[in-house]
Order: sequence, then structure tokens, then C-alpha cells
Amino acid sequence: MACAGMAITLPLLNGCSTPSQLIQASLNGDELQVPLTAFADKNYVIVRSKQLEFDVFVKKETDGTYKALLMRCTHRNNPVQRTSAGFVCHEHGSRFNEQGKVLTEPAVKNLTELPITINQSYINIKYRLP
Amino acid sequence: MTRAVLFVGHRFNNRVSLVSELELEDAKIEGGEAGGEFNLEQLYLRFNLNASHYLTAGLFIPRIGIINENHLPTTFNGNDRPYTEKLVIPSTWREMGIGFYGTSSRLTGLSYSAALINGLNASEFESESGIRAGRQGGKMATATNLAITGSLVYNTGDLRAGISAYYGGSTGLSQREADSLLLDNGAFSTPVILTEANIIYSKPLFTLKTLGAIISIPDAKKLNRAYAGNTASMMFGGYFEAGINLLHAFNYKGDQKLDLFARAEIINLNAELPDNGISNEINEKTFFITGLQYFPAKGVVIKADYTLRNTGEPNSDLIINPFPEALPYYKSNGFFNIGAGYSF
Repeated sequence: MACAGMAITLPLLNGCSTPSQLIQASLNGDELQVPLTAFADKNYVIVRSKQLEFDVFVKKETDGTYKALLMRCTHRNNPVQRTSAGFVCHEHGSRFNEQGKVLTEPAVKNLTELPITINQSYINIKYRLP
Repeated sequence: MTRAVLFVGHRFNNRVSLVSELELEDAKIEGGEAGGEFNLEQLYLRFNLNASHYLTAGLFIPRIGIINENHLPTTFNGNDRPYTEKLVIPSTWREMGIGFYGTSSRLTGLSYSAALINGLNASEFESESGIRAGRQGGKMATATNLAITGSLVYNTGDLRAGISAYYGGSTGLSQREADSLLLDNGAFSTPVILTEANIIYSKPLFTLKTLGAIISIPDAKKLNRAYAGNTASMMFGGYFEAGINLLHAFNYKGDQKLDLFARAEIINLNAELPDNGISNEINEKTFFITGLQYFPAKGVVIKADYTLRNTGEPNSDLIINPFPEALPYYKSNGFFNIGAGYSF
């Protein structure tokens, strides 16, 4: 009910009514494994591991392919936050679109795309910091 | 040359890293000559709590306004940063302390921060620059007075909205010193209260920005009695800015940009004075700035702008020893500025 009330009085706070996209995963060697079932009711997830410094954004594209972006600002290596339009780094204000492309400087490089492989039931993300 | 900043960082491990920025102003420093400053803009250790929360400890820049944290030349329009964020919010404002920063996992786009830092030094406050000269900036800084700050920033779509507040003691004297100056003593005595709100709306074609900030010093009368700084009990400032990416308007899709912008600002550094304060209309200012910014490559900007500044009449009663060859003061004055900047 609290969320419903906020949705009426503060429609900008639309994140309140959406389910959490955050999922936990453990590191296997230098790979993160994300079950494909995580995308059953959503088109992206944010993968977090206690062993890692930065989250990974994994998106299911409309053509059925997947893309993984390291959620680390390319300006000063601060974590970026997911927004409804892409990503933002609160440290110096850099903005990126959902594909990781720079929208607003000071970042001049796009977010790092991490290589992925897919087996029958998992997406394997190779986690490496450039 | 206005300034050059060198960034040095080090990552000790997944949890701990160092951030430092060394700044040289006016190209060089020579003994006995005016100008020139070499300072640490930031020097802090950062401790990651998890992927979305971290602590800072050392000399850092609290999240107040837009420019204080995001002051790189490629991120603001004009050669000079907005005057409101210089004279009211004294950017770049860094102090010693500890900070907590985080982003919400539940509410997409929400981030927050809180910090405990050393307070201001009210004995340095000046009528024409507000609280700016009272910043300690890590130099011989004392924590006999303290300040707390907090901020909320929300991003949704192309909109960014932020609010922040600062509450801090400004005297930081021992009991004996405070008694001798008839001031209060304690960590949060003679407080300075700053509140601010800002909004940025960014589309590929255009950007709109607005910010308002207000400072309240309820005990300004006591400060004037002790230090004769003619400190106001209330100051405020605000601006509105619009910019358009001209190349985008012509369907150019490459890395270059050409922005046309205009900004209007209003500032009043003596909006309210205690009964021992002296009004000086020179502190009531408006600015209108318009110009072009050309980005030949990402991270590089060439700037040209015109600034029109209007103020009230200077109060001649405040000029105790008039300089016989003083230049006349123009209430309305304009400046052309050309510059270049980079960030990487």
C-alpha cells in the first residue's frame, strides 16, 4: 500500500512498483553464471557477487541475444547506477544509454562490454577488468 | 591559465582505493607575487562496502549542488562556472571528514550521500564573497567545529533532480576564546545552514539546468560583533540555463559537438542583515551569460562567451580609506571570455 500511495503522489518514483532486478551470483574461476530462467519475466538483470567490486548488467535484446556491461564508469572507475534511461555515474555526472554509449561527459569511453557464452541453461560472463 | 589538475589514483584491492587530485592555479607560483596556488583538491581513501555503497575518509568534495562534484570543464557551459555555485555554494568546496555514498537497489535511479566534515571558519567570512573564504580545505583544518551534509539525487529518464543540505558550526573556539568574543562554543555553535535544490533535463538536442541555494546564519549578529565581517544572516542565489547542440539539430551523428547556451543568474549576498550589519548593494548581482562551446573530440572543449554583470551601487560608507587612484566601479559591466579545456 505504501508503494501504491507513492505511485499516486509521486509518479516519478516508478521504480518502487517494479520487482528487483538484482540477482546474486557466485564467481566460478573468472566467470559469472546467470541462469536463463532469470529472464523469464524481465528483459534485464543486474548481477552482483560478493567477490566482485562492480555489478554486471545483462540485457536480453529483442532479437533474443544477450549483452553484458560492466557497471563501472570509464572516467574514474566509479560504480554506475542503472536508471530508466540507461546508466549514470554520480561521482562526476557521466551518463550512458542502455547500450553503454556515452551520452554525457566527462566519460569519453563507452561502458565495457564483457564477453559472454551461452550454454543450454546459463549465460557465462567472463569478468575481467580492463 | 586558470588551472591544471593531475589525478592520481591507486587500487589497493577490491575494497580499498586511493583518490587524489593535485591542482595548480595560475600556471606558476612565485614568492612575493600575487596569484598562483598549489593545492590538494582531493585526497581520500575509499572503502567499498559492496557494489553500491562505499565510505570515504580524508579530504573530499561533498555532494552539494551540481558543480561541486561535477566541475570538469567539459561538463559546464561557459569559461566560468556558474556564479551561484561560487558565491553561494562555495565550489569547489572540499573539507576533511568521512562520507557515506550509496545507490538504491529498490528504487532505480535514487542515490544518496551523507558526510561528517570539519566546519567553516567564520572569522574569514567576507561580505562580498559570503562564506567562501571560511572554507578550511584541509589546510591547518581543525575539527573543533563540525558539519553534517546530506544529499538525495534521483534520475529518471532524461531528468535528474537533486537536493542537498549542510548544517555546520562556524566558530570552533575553545571555551575561553569563545567567552572572550561573546560567542557560543561547541561543535555546532554559530551554525551555517545551506539548502539547495537542482534539476537537469538532458536530451541529445538540448539541456536545461536550474539550481537554487539559500544560506542562513541565525547568529550572524554575534559573528559581526566578534569579527566585524559584515556577515549577512541570509544569502541566496539561483540560475537557469538552456543549451542546444547545434550539430545535432543538423542531424550530425559524430563525436563533435557545438553547443549554444544562455544562463541567467541572480545572487544576493546580503538578502537579510542583522541589525549590526551594513547593507551593500554591490552584493545584489545578476549575471547573463551566453556563448558557444565546440567539442572537436570527446573530452576537449573550446569555449567563447559573453558575460554581462549587473550589481547595485557600492556603499561608500564601507570604503574607510579611499584609494585616490581607484578605478570607477561600473554597476553594469561586460566581459568576453575565450578558453579551452580538457578532461580524460
